[in-house]
Amino acid sequence: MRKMRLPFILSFIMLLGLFSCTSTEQKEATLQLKATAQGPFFAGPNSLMAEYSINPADLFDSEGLKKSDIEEVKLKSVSIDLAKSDSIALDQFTSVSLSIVGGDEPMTALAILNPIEGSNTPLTLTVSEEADLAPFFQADKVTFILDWDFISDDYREEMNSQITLNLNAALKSN
Amino acid sequence: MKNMMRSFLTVVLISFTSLIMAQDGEADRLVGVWEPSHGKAKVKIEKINDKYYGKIVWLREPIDPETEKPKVDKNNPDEKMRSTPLRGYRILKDFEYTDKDTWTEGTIYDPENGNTYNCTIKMTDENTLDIRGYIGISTFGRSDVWKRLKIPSRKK
Repeated sequence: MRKMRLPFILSFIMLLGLFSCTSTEQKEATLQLKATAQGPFFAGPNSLMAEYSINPADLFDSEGLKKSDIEEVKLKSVSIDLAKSDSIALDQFTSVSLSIVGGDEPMTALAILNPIEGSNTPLTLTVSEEADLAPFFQADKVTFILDWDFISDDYREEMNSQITLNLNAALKSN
Repeated sequence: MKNMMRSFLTVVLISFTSLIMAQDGEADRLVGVWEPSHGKAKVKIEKINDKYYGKIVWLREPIDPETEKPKVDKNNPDEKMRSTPLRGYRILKDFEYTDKDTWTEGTIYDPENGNTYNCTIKMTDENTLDIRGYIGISTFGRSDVWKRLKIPSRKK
């Protein structure tokens, strides 16, 4: 009877060894994007868009990293800056928020700053605790939507904003 | 023979493109500003990447009497996002045009309780939407009629 159990025990140990070869690695990355929209903008919420093509190996500086290796992507911080070339100042806005949309995933709110106080840039937003970007990173392309809430009634020029996202990802490593 | 083939392919291509454009035109009828039956808000529906989203652009009572500040999404399940202003909030998300006069696969958010429901939008005429929010199956839900906000024409 003992002899019969041995192959089972050995198989179990081998399986354990096999699974232990796949572990999870934590990695940080910074994503910088330029969101843009053409005026005119009116008082109230106005959206600027930034498209991003997903390339995990490039983003996480890890050769051979596949989309399927991404287990979780959480936001550590989000900051926003106005383009220096734009002739609009922070006192023209009451709030700013950031969302993401792409693939088959529902649009997800990522970060918010309300109210905007002072004139120091970049603005640091409060990030969502729940948002996980990993499902979005399975798509080919995602769109970040930056909503500025305008006070002024009429701004006719193009507007640009720099978005900086600091990410913390859990990645499969073999 | 080559010319005939080329003409045939051109006709097919034009027909196909026209069909797609007609379908896009039909779907885009949803774009505009709409008013729910309670009259407390106006919602602007816009298109982002082939899907439709609706955000609050006007509130009858924009100030929260408790805080005396502009209303925020104080019932958001994510505590960190509770300072999001209600004006500008996207309460309709991810709608796709699936059938004649119907948009599905989307959700509607109720800021009064912080709940998100599955939702179907049916355009009963050019200026009327039947919005049905539900959990699970559409039989158990609640409907509301939204009217398109007509922009008055400028007097000359």
